[in-house]
Amino acid sequence: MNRFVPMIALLAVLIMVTAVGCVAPAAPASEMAAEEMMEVVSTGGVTLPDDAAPLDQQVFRSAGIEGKHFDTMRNEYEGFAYESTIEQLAKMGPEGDWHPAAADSWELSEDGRTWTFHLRQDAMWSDGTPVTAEDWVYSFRRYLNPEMANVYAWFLFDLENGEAYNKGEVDVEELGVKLIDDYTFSLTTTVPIPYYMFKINWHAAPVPRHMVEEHGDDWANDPATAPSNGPYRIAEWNRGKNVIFTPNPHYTGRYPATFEQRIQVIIPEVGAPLLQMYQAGDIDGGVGVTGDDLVQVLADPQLSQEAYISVMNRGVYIYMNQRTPPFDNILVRQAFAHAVDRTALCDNVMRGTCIPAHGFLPKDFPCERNDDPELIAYQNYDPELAADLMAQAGYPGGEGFPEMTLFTKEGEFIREAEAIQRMLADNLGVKLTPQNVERAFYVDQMRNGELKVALNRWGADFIDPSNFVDWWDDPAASYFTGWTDEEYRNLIDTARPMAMSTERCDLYHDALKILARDAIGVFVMNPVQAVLYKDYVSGLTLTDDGTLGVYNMMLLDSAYVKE
Amino acid sequence: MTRYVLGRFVGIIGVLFIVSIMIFLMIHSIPGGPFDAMPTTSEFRDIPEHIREKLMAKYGLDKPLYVQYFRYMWAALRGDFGISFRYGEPVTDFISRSWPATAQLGLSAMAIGIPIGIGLGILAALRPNTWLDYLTNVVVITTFVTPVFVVAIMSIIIFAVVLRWLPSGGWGEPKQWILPTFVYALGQIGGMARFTRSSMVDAMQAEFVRTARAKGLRERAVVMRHAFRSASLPLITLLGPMVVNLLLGSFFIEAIFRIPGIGGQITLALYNRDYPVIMALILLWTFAIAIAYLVTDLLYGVVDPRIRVGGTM
Repeated sequence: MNRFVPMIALLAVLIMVTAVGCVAPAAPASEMAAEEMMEVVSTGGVTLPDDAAPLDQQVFRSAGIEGKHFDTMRNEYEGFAYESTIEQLAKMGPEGDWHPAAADSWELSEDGRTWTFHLRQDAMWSDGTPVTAEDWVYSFRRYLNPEMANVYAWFLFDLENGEAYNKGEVDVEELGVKLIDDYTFSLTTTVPIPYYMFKINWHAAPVPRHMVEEHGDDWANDPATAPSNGPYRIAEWNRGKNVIFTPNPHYTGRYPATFEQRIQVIIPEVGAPLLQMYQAGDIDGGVGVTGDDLVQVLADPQLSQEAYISVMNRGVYIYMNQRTPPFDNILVRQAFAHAVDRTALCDNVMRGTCIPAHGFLPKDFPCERNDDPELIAYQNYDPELAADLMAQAGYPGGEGFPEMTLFTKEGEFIREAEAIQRMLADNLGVKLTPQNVERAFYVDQMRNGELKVALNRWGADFIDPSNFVDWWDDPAASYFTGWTDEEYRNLIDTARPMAMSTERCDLYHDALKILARDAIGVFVMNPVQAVLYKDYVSGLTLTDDGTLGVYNMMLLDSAYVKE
Repeated sequence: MTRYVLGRFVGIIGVLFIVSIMIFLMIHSIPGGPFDAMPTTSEFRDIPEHIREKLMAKYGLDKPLYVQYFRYMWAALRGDFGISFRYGEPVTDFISRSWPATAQLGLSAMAIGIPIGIGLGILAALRPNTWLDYLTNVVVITTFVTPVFVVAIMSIIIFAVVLRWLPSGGWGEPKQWILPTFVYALGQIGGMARFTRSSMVDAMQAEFVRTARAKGLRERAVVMRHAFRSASLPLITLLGPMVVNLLLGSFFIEAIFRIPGIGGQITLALYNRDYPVIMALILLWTFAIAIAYLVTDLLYGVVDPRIRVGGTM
């Protein structure tokens, strides 16, 4: 590859020089050549803007942990998931709008349940094999195939017969995935799901059926047998070091490669000094920083210029196990809710790296109405009221309240937990001891009910309020608290299949108010994040306000390295 | 001698068996299993029961513990240590591709750290309570008390971020070796020098040193041939486990400098409940420590014939 990049560049320049020489014979050839040398055409066929650096510098390096394989349709989070090597049916732009990618177009049936996709007909795998609807159908079926034992299979259980097929109760033909012709297929869901595009376009990409049939699941362990359908292909996987992507020579789609190489530098699961790596120039962008690193970034004249700042799509809340005392008592939960000074937490303790929240939806998330005075009143900071509620609950001044551990996990929220523990001690007289534990332990203790209280977080999997409300009363959810409520269930069941509208948001807001009113969780804050991109990384596809956008899948599609 | 070594080897095999049983029981009794450690499952909802059952069966985790243990040992005896849950590759492949980086780093750090440490220690012992001794002490104490991750991050900030002389990490090119090797070596110098100094100070005051001097030996010969030889006994005790630790790597050094070695892997594997990797690495570590002590015991005999083991050679 490296040998042939400069050759192509040279060839391109020669052709240009010759062509220019023909139409403009008056100008001296050497002068023209010098001028035209400035034009940089990527191997992917994109003419880069005038300020682009030479081709050999068109490399973008980011950091990520090591995946197990390249098969995102076996287990989404186990594999390396790269927007560069997989082409989804459609891509979400910076403003949350959908753009055709592997599908030229799609339509939704009258009943809102069947999505029909018309694929781009000239699509090819990077080994030159055509990508057909059969590959797509095969991939969705394989995802749910009981033999695969995909731990994430439930993500597609809302496909018609998805769960039944996964349990081996029905045949694959019964599954709501249908081949229509070589370039058309459809997906049918059990109920109308207006946000379905988010779900299936997140990491869903076809697997190369010809390779899977020849090599089994091992196809995805070796770049040689793992062709891509996206703008880049996997050139090398140097375990523990990096993965190198180069332009897919057979890509004919809408988002051709601008870079000559994209490199993912592999970092260990814990401990890599990402910010220092970025500052040292060993990675070019995509570094998200929060907490103390964020404070440092904002104070640094250079870094603050390269930072794209946003409120994360994460809700941080106090989880309380409501199956047993003391948190089965609503008064105790409400006392906790009124005892946390969120403004002091974010402004003083966390030095502006979070924003206070009294509701569960992150700021600017669809249907978010955190400014609603009614919502705020349910959980506003009011130490007197809090103490009063605690006394009513039978624990005046915290007397008789059991000592317990306030859990956090994976090194997250340690300082937040310290501060909250202090506020609860001062305002309610309760004694919680913060303890940070590893994920497996945390989940295990939560599942068997040993864990009483934790500072927990929820991050959006897709951009729809249902993602934040659906699981609270679901016993199969990891963060189930033991609480169920009929009114709540009715609200969210009514809202889920509706098309996005004010009416739908009203329903979700009512549900969120129940969560706040009964203090099912004590909603505390949304973290703020800065994502860094070096100033020489130009051409990012941003929102109109110049931010990165939420789940913007087109961010790097036109990006290049500036001189 | 041969009989002695053979006897020790039999002992080591026994130890490995006992350790294997203990570790096997311990890792299976930690709350949470390999499928709880995955972000997939814990962030959203529990794995559906029918899938959990399939996975447990796939990895043989549904069998009673003793069956799992015997299966494991039977395979392990034939060189098959299972497949890593986290990396999806055979544990033997994983170790054989990761270990060279760790070993190279450890050997380089030893090659730099041990001679410097011993040298500093001897110098300090020869001139006790002079500026040289105090300077050595400052160096020793500083390197000894500063945690290695602080030194590592500081070195990255100085040499990679500010001066831009060296990369911040990674592994493969020689310039990527420099920072981790020196940071790692620095950590060894402190311990080595401190130990050498104290045993040399003792040795220099011994009767035989006075005798050697009285015989008219040159100071150099007195120090190296007599005093240091005697002082090196406790050093050998220290060196055994130190060499093993260096060869098996450091969690912090490898994580911070992004070295694809096995140094951090026991910790990560525990975190991920990656049972096959935990077992293999702890057995490897046990074996290495046992061998190190055997070699140490044999070396005692070389340095001091009075404690030669297993009779005459």
